[in-house]
Amino acid sequence: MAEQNESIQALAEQEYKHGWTSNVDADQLPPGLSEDIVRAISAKKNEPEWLTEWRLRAYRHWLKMTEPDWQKPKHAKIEYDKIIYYSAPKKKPTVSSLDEVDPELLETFEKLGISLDEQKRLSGVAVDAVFDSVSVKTTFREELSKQGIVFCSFSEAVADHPELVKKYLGSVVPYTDNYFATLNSAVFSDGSFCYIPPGVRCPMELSTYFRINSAGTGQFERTLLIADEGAYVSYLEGCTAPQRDENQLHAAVVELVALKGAHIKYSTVQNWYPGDKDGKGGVYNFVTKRGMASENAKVSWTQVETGSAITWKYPSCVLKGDNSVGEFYSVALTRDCQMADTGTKMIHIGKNTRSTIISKGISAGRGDQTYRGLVQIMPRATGARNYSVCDSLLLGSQCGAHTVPYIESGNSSAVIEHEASTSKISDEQIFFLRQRGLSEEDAVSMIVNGFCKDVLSELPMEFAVEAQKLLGVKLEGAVG
Amino acid sequence: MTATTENLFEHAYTALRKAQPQEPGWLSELREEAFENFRALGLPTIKHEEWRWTNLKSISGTDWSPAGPVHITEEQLKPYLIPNDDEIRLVFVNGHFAEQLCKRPPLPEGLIVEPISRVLDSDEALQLKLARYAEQTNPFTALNTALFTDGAYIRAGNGITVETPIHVLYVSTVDEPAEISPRTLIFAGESSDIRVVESYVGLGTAARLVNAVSEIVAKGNSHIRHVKLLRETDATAHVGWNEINVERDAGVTAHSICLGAALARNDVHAVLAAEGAECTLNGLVLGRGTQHFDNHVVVDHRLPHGRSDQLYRAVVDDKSRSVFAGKVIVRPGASGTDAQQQNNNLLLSDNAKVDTKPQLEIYTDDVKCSHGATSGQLDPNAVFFLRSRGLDERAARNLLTFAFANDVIEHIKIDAVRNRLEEIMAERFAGLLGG
Repeated sequence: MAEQNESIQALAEQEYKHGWTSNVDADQLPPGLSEDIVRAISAKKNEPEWLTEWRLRAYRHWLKMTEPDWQKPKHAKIEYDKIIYYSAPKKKPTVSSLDEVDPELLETFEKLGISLDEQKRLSGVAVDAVFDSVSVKTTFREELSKQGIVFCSFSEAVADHPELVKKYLGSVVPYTDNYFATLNSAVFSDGSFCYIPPGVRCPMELSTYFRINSAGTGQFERTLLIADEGAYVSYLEGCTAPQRDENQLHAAVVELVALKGAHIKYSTVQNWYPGDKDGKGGVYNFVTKRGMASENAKVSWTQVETGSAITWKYPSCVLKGDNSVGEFYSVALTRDCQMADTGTKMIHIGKNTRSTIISKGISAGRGDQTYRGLVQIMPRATGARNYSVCDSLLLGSQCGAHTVPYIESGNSSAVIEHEASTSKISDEQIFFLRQRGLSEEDAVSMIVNGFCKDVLSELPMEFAVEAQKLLGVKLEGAVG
Repeated sequence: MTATTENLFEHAYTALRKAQPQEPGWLSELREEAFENFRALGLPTIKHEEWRWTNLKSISGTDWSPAGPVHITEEQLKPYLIPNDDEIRLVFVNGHFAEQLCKRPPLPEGLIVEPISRVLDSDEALQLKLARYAEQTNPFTALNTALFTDGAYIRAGNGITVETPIHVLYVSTVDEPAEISPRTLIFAGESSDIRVVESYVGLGTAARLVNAVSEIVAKGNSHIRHVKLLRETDATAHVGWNEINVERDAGVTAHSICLGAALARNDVHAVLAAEGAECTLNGLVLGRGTQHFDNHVVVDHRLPHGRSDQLYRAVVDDKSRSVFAGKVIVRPGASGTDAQQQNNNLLLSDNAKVDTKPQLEIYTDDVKCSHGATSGQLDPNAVFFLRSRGLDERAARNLLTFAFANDVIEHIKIDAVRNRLEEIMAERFAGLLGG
């Protein structure tokens, strides 16, 4: 057992050693996947019969599927038999003060402008009374529940609101959807659940900073967000601080349900461990995200992808209801040996549906990235409208940038526009900024931020400021 | 793939090998190798990324036999000719040379315009060039190499300019389902300048498969203007591959004009193989009925300072469908590349469908690349403007549709061809939109 654990540890961690504990938790299933494991996971979480069955159906379907290989970034074969699919939430290693934390990490926090308390929490310093997560959680919950908002971990939701979970789980991303989503459906560990009642405008940004169960949600996260008729919610996932995670494969599923007239705004900042300079280690981030928009509803995705060795995700909008709106704003930055294959799908089903896609890709070093997107207009989507822009910025002669948009139009009244460009930062721009007294690095950072402005301005304010700094930090040493 | 496709074209291949025992050894070897390739590759299905929007069921379900030579009259050919005073014309009927229909005035010195079958033994350059450019990894290209009966061989010597367009007509006329594989090799020597038009014409009503391959090679500083005109019948499946190879400071301008076929797939594969190579690849699709047109274009920038330009437009009516997939590849080190790609689609009916995939694949930073794609209907404001000027709805729409398509036609720098196409379009749009 200990030996197996070590090999996984080696697989997941490779170069990166910070923050790993080798304590074997008692509450852990053996590696590998079988019906028994799926049942065991379900049993450990005290799940009702229907959910166990749902997981099993997903597992049986997964066995019949083959791993997709059409994507641009290729990776070493994933050994699904060596993954531990369940371990009880681990305690983060705690240190007594910030002095003991990796100075490199602190430096990054400094640059990102993260508050001291926040820094402590993020780096696993034992929290003091001022920043007591329990008290924060309590006040936070009280305020939300006053409005009837349910915001809890997925397991809690299964226990407390089974009718909602049963109704909506898999309604947007069915368990048969794709290889990784199916795997997730069979073994998902935990995640967030959120329900906004009709007509309620969620008074605060729901964020992972305050997530009730943030520890150890791990590899196979599942998020389900439901905005009932006329509701509004803005949800933030991830944070700008470097996330050091022991799992190599991340196969999360996010489902958004926007009922009549609802508006969901989902923002992601992803900064998982990208591996070292030569591309060793690093997280594989294979995520399925999809939102379903009913009549007059709006689903808006904003993402800033700077981490992971391989990012492979396409947050999508199914515009089912008439007059529904889908938006996708994305900044992806790859450097060293990072690879990203990301984009969106806009499926126009209802009449007068509208979608906007703004994608900015920055590739530096040996980074390689692909925008891959689909705009599909169904025959009855009269008056559908799409506007897409995908720009790529290349820094260095060894990087790559690719654009692969798919457009399928089946309605004559639909209007679709797509444009894309690829270029490098011109020497004139750099020269201008340098003669104004900026260093070359600052000049590049400023130009890149300008390049991404359309997307960053979609992020909630504090997040946007951090994301901007994050891009600067990420570009350090990538230019020259 | 179904079991019937396993030995697809085996009959055709055996029949052909029997019919041509006199072929030189190098060609037999090529054919054998190509057919082996085809056997290994099989026909693509919609599961292949490059074929996801074009289903070949109509091809894979038939046991095609090669079409035999048939006699046709000049009268039958008339609607497909391009009026020109001193025209050079080569005609092939069902893939066989039809000398009586050709027109070959005394040619300028250094220009060779011959059927491939006549120069197989004598022309060493042909042996060195034929099937050396087009990738044999494409099943249809391999199949053509294995099965082609004849086709045009056009070679311009160094430094010559031929302003008269060379018109190659590939006519198919069959009474029962048959397969026709024309093959073209166009070779422009250094600093030469030539114009070539390939017309694919169908007569008769029986189903047929036309599988054409053209290799177009432009040596240093030369220029080729090429037009492919597709005027097949509504019972024809046409698969075509244009392989274009452009060398240093040379330029190729190629147009694919799709007017007729039940199902047509055109692949254009342009390799900018040296510094300063340029190419312009344009296309127009006018679809109606249940026609299905699929244009795939790849431009491969291999060395620095290349320039490429693409403009593909489609007008689809009734239940027709247009597919466009364009890809620009900029290889590592191909700095200073300038590549543009534009795809515009006009849907005239709710049952028409457009699928498009303009791709950029870029591996170096000092480039200027962009692409754009649009799909939609006629601008109601433009229609309104014309109506306010006294045109009725139908005339206004026709005029705008004509203008949309003509943006591609006007790039054709061979006057006779452009004029003829404008005539054809004017006829077509008078009736296209109905009452």
